[in-house]
Amino acid sequence: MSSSAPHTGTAPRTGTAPHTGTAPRTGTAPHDLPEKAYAAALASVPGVGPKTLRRLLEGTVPHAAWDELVTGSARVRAALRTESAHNDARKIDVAHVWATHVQAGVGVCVLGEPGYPAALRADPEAPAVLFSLGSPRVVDTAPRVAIVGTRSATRYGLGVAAQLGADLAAAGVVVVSGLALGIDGAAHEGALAAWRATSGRGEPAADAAELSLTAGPSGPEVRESFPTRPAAPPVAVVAGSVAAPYPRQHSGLWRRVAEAGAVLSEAPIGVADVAWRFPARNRIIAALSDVVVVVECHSRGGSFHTVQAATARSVPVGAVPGSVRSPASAGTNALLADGCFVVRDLSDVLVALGLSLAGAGPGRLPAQLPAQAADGLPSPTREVVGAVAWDRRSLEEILEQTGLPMDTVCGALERLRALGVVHGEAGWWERC
Amino acid sequence: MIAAVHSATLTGTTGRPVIVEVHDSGGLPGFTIVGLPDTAVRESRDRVRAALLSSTFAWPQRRMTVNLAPTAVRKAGAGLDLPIALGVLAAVGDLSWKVLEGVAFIGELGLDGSVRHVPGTIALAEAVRGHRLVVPECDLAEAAAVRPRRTFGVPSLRTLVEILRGTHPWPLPVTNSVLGRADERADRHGNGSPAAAEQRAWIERAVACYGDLEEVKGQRVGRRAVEVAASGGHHLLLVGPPGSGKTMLARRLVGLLPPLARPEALEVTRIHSSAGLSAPEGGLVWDPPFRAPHHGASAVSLVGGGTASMRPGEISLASRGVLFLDEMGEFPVAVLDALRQPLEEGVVRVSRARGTADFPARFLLVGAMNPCPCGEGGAAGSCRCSPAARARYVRRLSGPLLDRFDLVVPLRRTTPDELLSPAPGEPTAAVAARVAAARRLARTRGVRCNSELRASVLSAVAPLDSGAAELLERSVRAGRLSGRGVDRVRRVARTIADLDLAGDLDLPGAGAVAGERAVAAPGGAGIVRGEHVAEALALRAGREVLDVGG
Repeated sequence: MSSSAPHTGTAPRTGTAPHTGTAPRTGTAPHDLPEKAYAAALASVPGVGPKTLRRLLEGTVPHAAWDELVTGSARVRAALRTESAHNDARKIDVAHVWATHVQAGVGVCVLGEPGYPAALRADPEAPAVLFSLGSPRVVDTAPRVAIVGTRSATRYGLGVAAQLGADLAAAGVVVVSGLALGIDGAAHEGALAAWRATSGRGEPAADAAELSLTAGPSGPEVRESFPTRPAAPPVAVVAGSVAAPYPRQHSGLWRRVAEAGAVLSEAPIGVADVAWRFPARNRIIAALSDVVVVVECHSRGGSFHTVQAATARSVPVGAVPGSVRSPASAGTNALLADGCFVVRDLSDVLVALGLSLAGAGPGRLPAQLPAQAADGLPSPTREVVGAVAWDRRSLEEILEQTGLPMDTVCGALERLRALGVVHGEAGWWERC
Repeated sequence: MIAAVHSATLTGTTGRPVIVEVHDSGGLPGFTIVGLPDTAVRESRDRVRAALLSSTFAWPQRRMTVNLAPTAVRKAGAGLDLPIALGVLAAVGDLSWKVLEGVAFIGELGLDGSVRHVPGTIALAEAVRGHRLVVPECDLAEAAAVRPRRTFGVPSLRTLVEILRGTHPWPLPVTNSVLGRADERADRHGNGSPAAAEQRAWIERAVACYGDLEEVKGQRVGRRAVEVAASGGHHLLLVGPPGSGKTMLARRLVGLLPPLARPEALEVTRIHSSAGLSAPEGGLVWDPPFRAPHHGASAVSLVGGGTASMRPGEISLASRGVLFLDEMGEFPVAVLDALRQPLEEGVVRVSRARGTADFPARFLLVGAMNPCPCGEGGAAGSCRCSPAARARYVRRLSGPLLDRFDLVVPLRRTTPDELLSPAPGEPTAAVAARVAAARRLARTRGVRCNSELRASVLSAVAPLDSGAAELLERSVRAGRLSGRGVDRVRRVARTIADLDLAGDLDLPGAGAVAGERAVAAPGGAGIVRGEHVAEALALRAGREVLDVGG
């Protein structure tokens, strides 16, 4: 299993690495481990967060930083807020940490070394050590768009997220998200559906989008046309370890994303999914992305962490408008009021990316039934379909509006469901 | 000398005959009770002594042994005080043992010699058939409900002894008013009008006690759900945010149930009396009970048992009525799962080291819960709970328990317009009339209500038209309905179709009966249409609220 792990640095260290000779090693750590092993061990020390890790690794190599941490040099003491990290580090067996990562097939990239995603390299808050499942290199192959949003999404939000994910992936854009429930998962599912259709496992899509890359609205046009361009794989950035799927419902999706693209995290194997890691993860999503799209979020949702991080990096933020009655769209509508650009479909995102699309086909998801199906229906059904709106209505409201008996209304709704005109769930009905 | 007195003791809700033997001999003065007495029986020594002295009898300064036969049965409660006192009197010769023959006595003694109430009198009275029965005066109505003749009530030990000695006449067996009422009730199913009067009286009491359905504003779905639940005996789970009227609806459901028939009333009275609940005037409990235990209830308080005596639990006290579990998500999981077997079998067998008791538990379960901890769930997108928190909350209801609910109804908050609307909803009396008609239709199929229909007879008694069959098939294929759910939906659809028919069958007298026969006959007008199935599906759509994290 470990032989298939996608690293380049598993060969024993030859001892030629620069040894800046700051302090003599205390001798417990074996000397034949790669630099990445020390990087993983540093990230595993309790109390060493992203910022501390960056400070520890600043201007030195991981094994040197590790030696300093274990011996407790003055530089390290200044970088650490607590004494405990120094003691905790002594208890960590670097070889064991390294073996765990190798066995789980988790790759380790260190900031400033080859293999680290170029897209993240320049970011002021880039994770000093990045753990990955799959191939992190896909990040740099195409433009990236983050699709984020609430975990308790409506059907509308889930549908838009999946469609947008599929369309963007088919247009050759890497879809970045967080593998959470709700919008994140839907976006990944959509992107995967498009990716599978062109990745050779399925037959290539006949109407694959032709992508034109431009340097900007007024810049010189460099056309790169790909008549049968494959869809871009999805990339996930998660809060916990890449080897510990969370939430459990998404473990299948997690694996498929890793197989197609990559799952990235700054957390090594074995750390707890503590709450601060989720907003911290959101800054990586923002840093990775060229554009952030919020599909649906509540007025005070976690998506705002991503939006803030994106704004701080001058990454354009778009939002999908929603019903003003839907609490799940309160946040996105507020973003639009604040001046974010409107995302209705793929083309809005591509414009923001500075890309233009020639001959973009419809999304890879099953097309919706035309709304005309509702016309020309017999009497009670017509009244009922008139009472069902595009946003969610409870059965109670439909009964109220039509004034018909409950069995008549329910019968009509089920007929409409069979026709694909309405969707009903948990006593709520909406047009689809 | 030896004296033997007939009496009875209570195990669970069943009476068992007991013979109290009192032996008197010379030797050191003493008083021993043997034969598995519980604490209350052992303490009767002091009550009996005080009662005898207060009634101007002497307390024998001799060695007295009281044996309670059969010795293998545990004796509980103070109902054996009176027979022990009489046995003592007979053993020492103050009373002729001949007058005690053929008479059974039940009663607790006060220190002043008065004869006091005994719980479970109705069950005890049934246990001593073949004897005359003497009970406390306050329990006469209850005992007379099962044996109107040869049952007498006495106020005090002194009076009883005078009666037995022949110096005081036997009291009238039962007062005319009590017996008359019981007789009138006994044949109330003979023709239509007494039953109708009975129903009207019950609805009046129910409305006074639990409120009228017309007070529930809006909530057409919720009102329909309680109507269907009452008609078909379908267990009902109301899922909705706080303030959506779950408790209001559940309480008003009781008034829709028909008043109890005599065998049911006897069963309910037996349970309530054994549990020590006071019997209503007239002796029998004719009203369907409504029990709403708080979610702090323990499994034993719900199911029955207890260490001192086998006491029926809330589910038995709710038998033939409604058991309402508000805030179902807050009940401990183990407590809820204890309901599963009684729900299935209609009886709960409580086993303890000292014995086993069977309690009837044929109740209509009505549950109410929020869709999630914040209460706003159901409308996806409006809930602020984390998916994990919602899953944890909903997992309190195990799948097998959730499966017992035929109706899982999503409710939404009433809008201010509906709340302020002056127009009242349909009153309880009107809905109850439809429920009664639907239940009459169910009886033509040989069951009390449609929830009792066996799966094997469904295709005969609930034939589907093509639209209904198609809708069921589509729902199963779409994964909205499980194989087990299909039968439940068909039963509920049968009830809804019956309610539909009930409106058309509103004929007086024999015409209605003929009409019911015709409808219920195979191939009759009683076919289940697609609309009925659609409504049945809508009345269980709340399950989708509870399917989270799947």
